[in-house]
Amino acid sequence: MGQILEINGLTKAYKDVTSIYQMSFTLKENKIYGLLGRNGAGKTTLMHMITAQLFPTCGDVKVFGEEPYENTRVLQQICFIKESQAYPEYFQISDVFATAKSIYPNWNDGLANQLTQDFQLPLNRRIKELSRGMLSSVGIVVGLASRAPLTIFDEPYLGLDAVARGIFYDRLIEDYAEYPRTVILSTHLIDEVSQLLEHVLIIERGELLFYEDAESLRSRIYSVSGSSEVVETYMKGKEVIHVEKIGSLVTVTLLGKKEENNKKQAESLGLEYVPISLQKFVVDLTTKSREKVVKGQ
Amino acid sequence: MNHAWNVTRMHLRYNSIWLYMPLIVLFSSFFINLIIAVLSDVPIYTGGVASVYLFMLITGLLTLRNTFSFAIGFSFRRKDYFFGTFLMVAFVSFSTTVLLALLSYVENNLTNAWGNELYFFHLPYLNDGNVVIQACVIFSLMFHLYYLGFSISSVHRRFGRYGMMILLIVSLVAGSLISAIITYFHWWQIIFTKVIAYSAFQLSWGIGLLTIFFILVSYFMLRRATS
Repeated sequence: MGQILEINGLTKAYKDVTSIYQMSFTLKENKIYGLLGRNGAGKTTLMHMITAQLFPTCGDVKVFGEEPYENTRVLQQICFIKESQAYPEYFQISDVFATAKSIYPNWNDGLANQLTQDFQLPLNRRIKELSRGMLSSVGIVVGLASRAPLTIFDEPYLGLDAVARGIFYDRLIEDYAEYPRTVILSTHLIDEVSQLLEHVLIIERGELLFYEDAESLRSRIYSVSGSSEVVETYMKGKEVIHVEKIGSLVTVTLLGKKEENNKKQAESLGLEYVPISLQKFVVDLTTKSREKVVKGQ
Repeated sequence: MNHAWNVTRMHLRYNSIWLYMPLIVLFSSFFINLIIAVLSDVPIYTGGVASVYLFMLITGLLTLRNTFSFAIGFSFRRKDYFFGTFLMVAFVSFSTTVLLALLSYVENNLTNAWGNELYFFHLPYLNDGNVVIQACVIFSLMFHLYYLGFSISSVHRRFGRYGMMILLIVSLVAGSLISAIITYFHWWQIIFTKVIAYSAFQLSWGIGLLTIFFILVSYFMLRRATS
């Protein structure tokens, strides 16, 4: 399976802050990636650099083996749907779709029409008259109907209710199964998308903290609870992500090793073993990272 | 160039602002002046046609704000955006020029100033010469004003408000300095005499050079602009 994105030593520094620092990773084709992290972690900056909408301070970005900047071959294969996408205010929804159709070679009118009906979008309504949810739906229609080999969604469903989000997930999976492409999904609703993701990238303070196969990661993250002495004994030699104390009860979030039987070990010591969600793991991991910075470690 | 044409089509979707609005204002002004001319005994020379040029300047200032982020966000290259916009400006300037030159001809040659001594489209000095010469003046003025606005907003897009502030300060200082030098050496009279000695057509070549400068500035600013 080929690589479609290669990032090497990527840094974006502003006058008083570094948004992305020495980041390197690769993405393979036809996979769904979750780009996760807290607000201000650098996700949007990273996506802007991948799509050549922002210039790196140093480092390389190669998409489909080429620099994306001013490169039509590359750019027309990338569809980046962002929450902050600006639209010409005089445009109607139909104008947005027509413009998208003119740039994305794989654009599918049938899918666009079906999604327009699913999200009940009035094609002749002006963009400036749309609600936040409708605006998000427009982005989702463009993102899916473009069938771009690299499709990036950055918080695509702001203002959408649970039903509409469900439609998005269903259509994404259906169309992805039929027309595989690489999808990067950046969102805070991690639990909702957790089952869609094949790989997870976790970013915090401009650095890539974690990059792993989602299935493997889900099997390794768990928490144990029990009395502090027993938990401390259990924690020795393990990767502790987060510790929470309530009275004498201690709950620890851990990242286990694949080959270890973490559940058996914990239960043999009388500890309560609970697999945790990806969202809980991301929260604990990024909190730990911030605490480290505060403590100057 | 295919995607540059797609950018032009994107602009064409906003034809009400690019094409119809300036004409609505222009003809509203014309008909008001015509009514006054009918009721009046004296010849009327009016600058109502300036509204078209003002529209070009304002459109130049607003184009980037309206469409640049959208175009870049929708995977257009900056170069395609620039050339697609250039095509649009050329199309609007050309079609408006044809219309204004035609109306100037009708006013001057066919209707004897609309039968009521209303000089709206055919003004002294600006509309001297044959129709082709007049068209060149109109076209170069429209292009010039559009790219004056466009280059200013492209500096803003590239360098933000601090860039604009520096541009403003530098322009003010340079303008004041030049003005002070001209005043000190009593050159104003000489300059005016020399400028007036040229026809509007000759001057249009001069502003053409300035227009090329604005176009180049816009191009290089946009090449490094972010969405």
